[in-house]
Amino acid sequence: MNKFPLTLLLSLCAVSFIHAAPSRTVDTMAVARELDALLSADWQKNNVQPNPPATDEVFVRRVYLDIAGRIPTYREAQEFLGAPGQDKRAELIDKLLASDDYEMRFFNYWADVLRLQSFGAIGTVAGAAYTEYIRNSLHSNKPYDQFVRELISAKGRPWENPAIGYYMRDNRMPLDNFANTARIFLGTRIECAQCHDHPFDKWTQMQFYQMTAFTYGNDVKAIENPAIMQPRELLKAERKDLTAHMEEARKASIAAGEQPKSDYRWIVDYFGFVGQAVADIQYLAMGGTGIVYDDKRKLELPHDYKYPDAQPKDVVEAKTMLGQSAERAPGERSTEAYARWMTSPENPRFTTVIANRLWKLAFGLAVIEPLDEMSDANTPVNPELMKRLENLVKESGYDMKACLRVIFNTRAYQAAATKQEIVPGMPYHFPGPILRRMTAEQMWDSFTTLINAAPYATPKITTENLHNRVVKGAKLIDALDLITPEEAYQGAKVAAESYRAAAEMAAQGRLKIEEAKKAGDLQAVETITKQVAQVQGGGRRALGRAVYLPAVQRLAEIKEGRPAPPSPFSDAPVHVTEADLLADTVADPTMPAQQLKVNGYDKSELTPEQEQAEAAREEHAIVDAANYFNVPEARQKGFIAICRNQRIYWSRAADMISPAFRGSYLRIFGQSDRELIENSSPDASVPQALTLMNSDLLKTVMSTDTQLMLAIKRNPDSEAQLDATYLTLLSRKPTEHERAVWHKAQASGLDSIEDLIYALINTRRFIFVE
Amino acid sequence: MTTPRLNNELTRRQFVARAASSILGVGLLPHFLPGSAAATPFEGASKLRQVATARNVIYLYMSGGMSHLDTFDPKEAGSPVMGPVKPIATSADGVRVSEYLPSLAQQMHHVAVISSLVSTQGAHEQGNYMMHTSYALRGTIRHPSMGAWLDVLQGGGNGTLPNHVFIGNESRHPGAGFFPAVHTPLFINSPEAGVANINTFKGLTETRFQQRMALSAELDADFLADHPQRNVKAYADMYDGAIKMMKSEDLVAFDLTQEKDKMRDAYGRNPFGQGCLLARRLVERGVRFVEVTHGYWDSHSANFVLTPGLCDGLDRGLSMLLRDLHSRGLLDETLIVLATEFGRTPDINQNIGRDHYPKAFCGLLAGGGVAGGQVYGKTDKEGRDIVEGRTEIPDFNATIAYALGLPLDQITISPSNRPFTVCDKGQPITSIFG
Repeated sequence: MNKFPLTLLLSLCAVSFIHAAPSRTVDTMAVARELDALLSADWQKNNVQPNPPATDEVFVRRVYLDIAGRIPTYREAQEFLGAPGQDKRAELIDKLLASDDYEMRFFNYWADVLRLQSFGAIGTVAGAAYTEYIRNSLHSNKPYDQFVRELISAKGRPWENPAIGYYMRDNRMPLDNFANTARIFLGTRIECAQCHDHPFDKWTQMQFYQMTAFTYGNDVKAIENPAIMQPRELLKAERKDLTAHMEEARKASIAAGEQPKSDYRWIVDYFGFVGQAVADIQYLAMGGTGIVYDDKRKLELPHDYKYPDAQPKDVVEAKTMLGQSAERAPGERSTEAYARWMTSPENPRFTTVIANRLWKLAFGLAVIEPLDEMSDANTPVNPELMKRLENLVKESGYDMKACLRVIFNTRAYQAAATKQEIVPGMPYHFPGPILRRMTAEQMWDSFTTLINAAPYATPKITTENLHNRVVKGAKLIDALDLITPEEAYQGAKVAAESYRAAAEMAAQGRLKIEEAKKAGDLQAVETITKQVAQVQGGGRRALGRAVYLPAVQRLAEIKEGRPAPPSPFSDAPVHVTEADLLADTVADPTMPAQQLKVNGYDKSELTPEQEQAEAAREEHAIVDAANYFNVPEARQKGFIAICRNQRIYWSRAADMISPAFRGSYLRIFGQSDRELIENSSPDASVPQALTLMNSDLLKTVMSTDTQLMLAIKRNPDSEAQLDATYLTLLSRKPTEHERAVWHKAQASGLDSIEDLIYALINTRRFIFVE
Repeated sequence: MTTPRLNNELTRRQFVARAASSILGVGLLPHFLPGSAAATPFEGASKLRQVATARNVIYLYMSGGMSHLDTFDPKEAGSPVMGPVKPIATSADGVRVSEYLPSLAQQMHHVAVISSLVSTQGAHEQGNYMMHTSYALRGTIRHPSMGAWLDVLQGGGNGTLPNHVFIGNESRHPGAGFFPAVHTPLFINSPEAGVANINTFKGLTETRFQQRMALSAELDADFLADHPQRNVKAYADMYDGAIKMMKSEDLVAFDLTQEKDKMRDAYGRNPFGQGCLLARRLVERGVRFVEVTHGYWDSHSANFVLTPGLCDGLDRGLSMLLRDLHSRGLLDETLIVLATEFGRTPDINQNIGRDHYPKAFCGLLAGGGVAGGQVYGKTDKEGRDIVEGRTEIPDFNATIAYALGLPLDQITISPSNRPFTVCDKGQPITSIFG
């Protein structure tokens, strides 16, 4: 599905992202059996009993969570449990790996690893582009080594190469960025060595700096078009000129025995406001900030470097700290050589780490733990298994889906979860997966599954918002190329009057407030304060209209094949009143410019036929659900509207901002704040308990027209409704004992199915994955 | 055999045991090699320690960079750096504040002004982080805030209410840092709204709620029996904790309608004022660390319109808090802190605003054993440079920790095996204690 047509001009490969490089064929079942045999041999050696096989009920819930990131719906559970056939588990695994859910579940995983934030240090445009890029990469099942190479060697603007998000995320912290790289891709924690030789491991501070040197040529750079950079020269020249004129006039007056007429202060004043406008031309172009590479940037040792092998402030040459050296081909950037070295099958740690990650995603523990803190002392419990997994990764061409397919098809994965506590340091031989609590995203996505009556892919509104942010950034910057520095400078002068008016309003406002205070008119004080605050953005808003809007207008004309309009900037004096300022309330100064439609920039418009086909497809899926749940025809129109609403308000974690805002359910459930690598928490907390007992989330799950309630209502009698409740929440029917417990509860006053739902959602078995 | 090491996922909760064992001191840490650069970490951390004079802290954070000249370090009227603002006398001899703070002026005999703060961080996020943690913002670790350190090193407090509460909308807060999530503060977005999800559904009777929870336990019994894992059991503990909190009499502390209108008006009917009132109520019930934020001090333009408005809320809220705590006999054991990320430029810019200024700015300490009515440190006559009593952020925080009786040189090992102290190498200002 060609979802995001604009984004990628990969500097490295011209591989279309729709069809990833074909993975070399892996004989899934044969390799799965090999892994099982290696485990078996290890169990024999160590007297370990394998866990009993997981029932279909346990398997279906777990595999949906592990691959799709959510519990199965009532319908999905029924279909799987009722299906005959030896191969149904393998078929289910294939189906889930091919689904849209896969992309979302694994997006959540990689967003945690890469600390993806939609906003913040990374920049809103780069953040949106990076988010799209990771989603796309998973969607197309891009080989992992290619993905890492793209990240490490990225440079350019966010819309040219969204993988720059990897560096933008650590804006101005290149040393920290390297420490994170070592941890994420090489499974090596070396952050201690940033300041001194590593206290527990073999790494030296020199090695830390030598590795950082590979990427030090990268610099976070704002846009520096002539239209941005040169107006300040024009300003300096004009001010100098004017000052010289004033000086001459002044001398002439004195020479003529007259009182010198003018005072220079207005020059400082005038050019002060124009100067702010000129500086803000760049500020408004911040979305275009990207990564540039410059070999001339040299990394130096810190001023307090204390080891005998070099002097403080010595320049550091790039050198690899493990494996082979990284040679630069002629014309290549050091980041390209570094990326190649890092992702080489010969790199002693690169493949081990991803093999461990994929294994851990299925089993809850890696073969070498911690997988991002490997050291020479840290050897795998089952070295043959580790080696076979690494070879699987290489043989598959780093195809993550192919490897996951093998792992999920092992008998070991399809065993019951281990019931004992796994103490850190205690060797684990993988008789089965370990018991895990759902991740925050799995919990949230499971609740949205209980709520959404019809299954859905990412709602358009999310993809549009993300994409628009990127496109708007590109539009503004490309437009700036079409105006001259003189035109930009003229626009700045026009906008300067708004800066001035805002400052004047602040000065007048202060006096008015003093009067109002004396008169005891507190309402007026508040109003005036608010107004003054509001108009302080007036200068930037005027600048957006005076420089960016005409620039984008020009771009629009050219893209339509028409000649560029002439300079829109007149010399006519501009006067900005308080009323003008107060009337101008647009939130984002570049909004008027961004909103202009420009051919080739906005989301590729679907033809009316295509739009209709999309809408019909979506409606068909909802109507299918309506029929399944026996929603009467008369109600179906309303039902369609309800389902559309549910998709927007109860959307999947991967479709929300990253991270979700503090206080949201996702964060309460322990979602990572994405400040640090894999910073999510599976721990219990009082706010979680309060949420599960008292929140609106629970109320919504139990309201009419949710998947859960419709599944229950679909069944006529109370026993079948009990079954449906269990099937939807736990993907199985109740045991006899559970049936009896419920009957007893009903007899003692808990006579509605909501009581049962409430009770079950507040059990451990609901949020833990067996 | 995998080396026993702190594994993020499985042992976050276990590190607390580790931390407790490190009370035994630096010398017993096994990993440091003699002669290595890391052999004596935190040499230079203060060895000073006192019996705690403060039981609780109310930490008032002025978000955005509070101008020092327009508040607690005013210069002579008519000075070009003062704009139209004049200083006024206060209830403390020789101490002046800006005319924007008339009510606080009457309470300054309770307060010690630290006039000589200096930070290395001039940007909001970095400055906020430094002020809250004493360490620089990094991409590889998160440091704990003072409330989390207090919770870990001392605990104590009310059994059913959390020890550490944050009142406000500020999205940046280091929280528990590298400590387990259980030490994260309880976030209260708005003082009026109270604790989120604290009440059972409207219409759900207590009986039915109990029955539902009993049913839940029964339906879960065999799962719990089969799975003795710690993380499973931890949920039972949290549910107990949550239900205890729901039923706690102390929960009424979060209900501001319990206070008379006159009291609520006196604090100021705005989020900061009501937040201060809520903080007093929480401290009364044994909550040990409450933070209340007050934004948006970042007046790059229209400083003399925006700042008076902000000062109004601060003036009313803090003066009432001091008066109220004092009259209830709580001020002696409650340390009030006023902090901000940096000050604002003495020079007034063209937009009649002030820009960021970390070179010299001020904070306040009151109560909790601090002698009031004094100014510690001094800036020059235009508030540009510190001339006396230079206090770095770790020193300011060390003073808070000192008041609480926390050990300043005790090393705690993070899950990533890095050593930290409460305030890096901060030295407390012991002279301000009475």
